[in-house]
Parts: sequence; structure tokens; C-alpha cells
Amino acid sequence: MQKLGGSRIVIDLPGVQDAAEAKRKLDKFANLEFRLEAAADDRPSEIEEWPYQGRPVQLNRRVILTGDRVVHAAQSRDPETGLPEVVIKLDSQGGDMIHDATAPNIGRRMAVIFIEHKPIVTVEEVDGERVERHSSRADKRVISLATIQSALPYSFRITGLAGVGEAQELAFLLRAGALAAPMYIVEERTVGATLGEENIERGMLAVGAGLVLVLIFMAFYYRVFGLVANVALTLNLVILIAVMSLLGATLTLPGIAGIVLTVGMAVDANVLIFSRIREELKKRSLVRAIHAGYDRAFLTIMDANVTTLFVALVLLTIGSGAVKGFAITLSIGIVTSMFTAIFGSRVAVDLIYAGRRV
Amino acid sequence: MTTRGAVTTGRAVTTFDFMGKRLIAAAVSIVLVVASVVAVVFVGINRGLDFTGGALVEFGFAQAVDPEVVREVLVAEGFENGVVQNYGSETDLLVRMPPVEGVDQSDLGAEIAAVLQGSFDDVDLRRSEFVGPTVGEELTEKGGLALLVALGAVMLYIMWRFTGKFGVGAVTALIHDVLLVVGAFAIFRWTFNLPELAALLAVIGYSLNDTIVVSDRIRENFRGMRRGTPVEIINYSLNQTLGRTLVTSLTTLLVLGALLFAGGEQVSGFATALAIGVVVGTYSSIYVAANVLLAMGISKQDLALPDKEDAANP
Repeated sequence: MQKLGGSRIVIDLPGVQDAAEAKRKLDKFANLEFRLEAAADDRPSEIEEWPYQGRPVQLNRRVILTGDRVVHAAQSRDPETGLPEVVIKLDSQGGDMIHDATAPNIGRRMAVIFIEHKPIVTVEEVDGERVERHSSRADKRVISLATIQSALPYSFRITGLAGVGEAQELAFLLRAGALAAPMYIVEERTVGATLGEENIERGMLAVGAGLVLVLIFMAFYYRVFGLVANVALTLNLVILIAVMSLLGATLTLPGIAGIVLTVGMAVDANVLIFSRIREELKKRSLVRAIHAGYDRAFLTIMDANVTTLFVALVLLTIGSGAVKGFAITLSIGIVTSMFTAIFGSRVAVDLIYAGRRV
Repeated sequence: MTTRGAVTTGRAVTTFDFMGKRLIAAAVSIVLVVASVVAVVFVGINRGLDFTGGALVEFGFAQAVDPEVVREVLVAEGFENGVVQNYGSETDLLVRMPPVEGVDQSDLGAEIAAVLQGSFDDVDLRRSEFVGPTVGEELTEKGGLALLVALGAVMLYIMWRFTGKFGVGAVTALIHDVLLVVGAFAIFRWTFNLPELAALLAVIGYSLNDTIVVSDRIRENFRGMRRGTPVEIINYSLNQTLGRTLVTSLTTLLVLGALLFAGGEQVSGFATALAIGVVVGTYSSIYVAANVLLAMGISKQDLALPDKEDAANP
């Protein structure tokens, strides 16, 4: 994402095939207003009438808080009754605002208004030039009206919904309204890849070639264990790529960096285990050495991976774009490489050496 | 001086006297770190388009045009480090160019247009604007803070699993490695873009992994070996892990070598950064981390177990 001048931004969406879908999502900017139902002693000027489920309701004009304070909304079920409900989380400031507003109004009802900004682009002729004018029309409707049971904290529930479908719809609208600024798409184009798909393909091909070299080296250097390591390594990459495609991640250069590092760490985990087993072999029987090797190396691998995972997770939370791509690949890679190196190769080694008496 | 500490393994372990040369290594490291810092501060890093922003110029060509050919034309005229992409169709082209020395920011678009109009027929300048960097200031600021947080978290974890001295050793090695890679970019004037940033992040991961593995063995031997001075124990540990250190570095370098030679020009900066990081990271796990441990006077008392061996591990 880049700033372009004052009020415009460029959003690059790598790998998005359906530009129309992306556009629809970007186009619909919505907001929310949380308001109290009008009380008997409210002045008429403060009261507004809204339709809700076919009946008019009177709401106070004062807005308690808007959608930008909503952090999350999700459909769930009441743990006791099993009835559908929607859980809403606000940020800390929103929590204070709703607490102050609801504490003196227990028993009153609170409404949520969903505001959808629909962009309108009109073209006018000014001095012989076509000029686009952007404006928007706001569609507003009440999506929820519920009785306040207690002074609400930053996280609260809306219950008494007709069914799961209604709860899902409400949660969806609340989430959609959690983004604020209305926005218009000025221009939309499909851009060829910066690196060129060709380059990414070449990069992947090169990584593949490098991997083959690693597999050959491992097989020669560690023999049977090397083959086991190779199986674990291949399995690791298959799982890593499977998880990445499940998450819909696009392969970028930083992603390749993550893969290279993952390969390095996966090889390392196996090498650690096998050199440990070799050492233990000098003082124990084969089966015991294998056990001891795995047990001791596990601690080392754990320490090394956990620290790296710390870094990856920090990068994941703060980073965007390339940094995030790297952090995602690395985080998944650490987990899959630990899994395949420790459990996957262990199964293989046990299978090979299980029946053998030493 | 060779170590003959506990004879726990009968396996032929190399007996290099790593720590005997630790003062030389320390001197080399300090010189390289100082050179890197000086280069970064006084020469500066050649930041690429992702960090600087620059001109965004859109052209319409009469015929389909290969972005690569256009890029070569621009490089020949001194406009390096730009990104040329097809934009919407094969006849539309988008050029993004970081600021060029000696060319005023506001003229950059026009200059690029002049170059292209001189080399191709029927080139139509559609629009020329200034774009901000992909890496916003926010990320640069937050990124610095986040790295500090990450380093702090790593240090705490190592202090919990090892001791404070190991934490200092690992973080010193980490900073050493990152500085040397950044320093190399400053000294050789390589362009630093987002992929290179990703490589730098990978170096952090690699360096940590390597240092922890070596530290782990040092800790184990400090606890397990009855005799031997700290220098002897560390030497013995480094020799024990040497095979693994070399195999791991070699395999990672194999992948990077393939990337460097077959990956194409765009990947080379990234692969170079990672390769330097791997070499430096291997060196630092042997010399920097262990050296710091000795400098801080690591002793068996630091690692005395509160109860039985490894029972303290969760």
C-alpha cells in the first residue's frame, strides 16, 4: 500500500485473480452507530423515528459510539442455554464510552444503526473537460434493538436473536461497519508482476535445484539417516506449501526467503538429531542411542525454534506486506519443520530399526 | 592447546583450539562492526524504491512493448533501480523510479519520458506523479521498536532457559550479524529493497538458531564435564558441534548458491544478503557468542543446576 498525494492510496493486491470481487469489498464502506432508545423525558428535538422489523421505534439522536470503536464481532452460542448470540468487542476507549452510556440506563433499549456508504460518481463537463465528481449516499437502517441488562464493559453480547442465521447476519454487519472512512475507487488496473512471474518461477526453480543438492548431500553424508532426513524434509515442504495455499498466501520473494530459512532449520534439526545419535552410539546400544539422541536434541531444537518463532511472531504483528509474508512463511515453517523433524523422522527411524536387536 | 575433558564420546572429535585465537577474532569482529557502522552512517544505505518512493510515470506505446527492454534503455541512460511493469495491457507501461542524483524530483517524470521518446516511436506520456514509499514511515518506526521488543523477548527466553550471560552472548552475536550484512550493503552500494529486508530478517532467524545450538552444547558441557577450564570446555563444545555447524551452513549455502546463480538478477541482492548472513552467522556462533561468554567470565557456578540434570527444563 502506498500513499499517492494527499488523500489517495494505491493498494497492490498480489495474486488476486478476481479484481471485481476485490473491488466490491473495497467499495462497500460502512459504519455503525450505537444509540439509546428514546426515553419518556427526552425532548422531542432529541427523538428520531426509525423503522425496525416493520414497526417504528423512537431513538435518541445522541450517538454513543461509532463503528471504528468495534474491534470484533462474532456469532456464537450462549454456553448455558445454547441460544444464538453475537459477541461484540470494543477497543478500550469504546469500552469506557459504552460503560458510561449504559450504566445509568439499565432496562432501556439500545439500537445499532448500520450505515452503508454507496459511492456515486457523476461526470460533468467543465470547460470542455470531463470531470468526475465523487459523492456518496448513506443508507441507514436499524439492525438491532436490545434491552440493556447491565452496565456494559468493552466486551458484551446481544442475545434473544431469532436464530443462527440472524446472529450470523448481525455479526457480519457489525464487522462490516467496523471500518470507517468512506472511499471511492479512482482507478483500477491489473498490473504485471514487478518481479515477473517468470522471475518468481526461476527463483522457485533455483530453490528446487538447491534442495536437490541438499538431498543428495544428506544421503551421502548420513546414509540411512540422510534418507530419513530427506523424507522429513520433503514432507515438511509439502505441508508448508499445503498450509500456505490453504491460507491463500501468494508466493513472493520474502516468502521464498522464509522457505529457504525453513529448509535450513529443518535440515539443522535432523543433523542435530543424527549427530547426537552418533555420539550416543559410542556409549549405548543403537535403540537406546536413538532414544537418547532424539530426547537430547529435542531440547536444543526446541530452544532454537522457539526463539526464532518469537521473532517471527513479532514481525507478524507489526509487519505489513513483504515483512508479513516472510513472517507467515517462517512461522508456519518452524512449526512444520519441528513436527516433521521430531515426529516424522522418528516414526521412520523407529520403523527401520524397530525389530533390530543391537 | 588441546582439550581432553571428559571422555564422554569415543568418536574422533576435532581438536581445533578455537578460543586460543579469540582475541584475534574479537579484533576482526570489532573492526568489521566499526567499519559497517561507519559505512552505514557516513556512506549510507542505497535505499531502493520501496523505501524512498519516487516518480510514477505511465506511458502508452503504439505497439506491445517488453518491460525488460525498456528497463535496459533506462539503465543505459543512468536511470537505475527503476521498476518497469506492464499496466493493464501490453501497450501500456508503468515506470516507477527512485530519486536520481542530479535530477530534480519534479522533473524526474519528464526526463524519463524524454529518454523513452528518444528511443521508441509513438510514446505517449499519460501521467506522471510522485508516489510515497511502499514501506511507510510507520513501518520504519514501528519496525525498529518491534525489533527491540523481539530482541528483548529472545533475551528473556534465553535468560530463563540458560542464564543472562548466554542471553547477552546471543543478542551480541545477532546484532553483530545484522550490522555486518547491512554494512556490506552500504560498502558495496547494493540496492536495499524489501526483498533484502526480508533477507535481513531471515539472517536474524538463522543467526539465533546457530547461536542457540552452540550455546546449548556449551551449557551441557559446563554441567557435565568435571574437569577443564572454561576455555577448554568451550573449545571442546565448539569442536563437538563443528560438524553440525558446517553441515547446516553448507546445506543452506547450497540452496542460496543455486538461487544466486540460477535465480536471475532480481533475486541476486536477496540471495547475496542471505549468503553473507549465513557465513557471518556461522562465524559469530563460534566466535562472538562464545567470546562474550568468556569475556563475562562464565563459570560452572553460572550453570549450577538447582536440582537434577535437565529437571529444570519444562
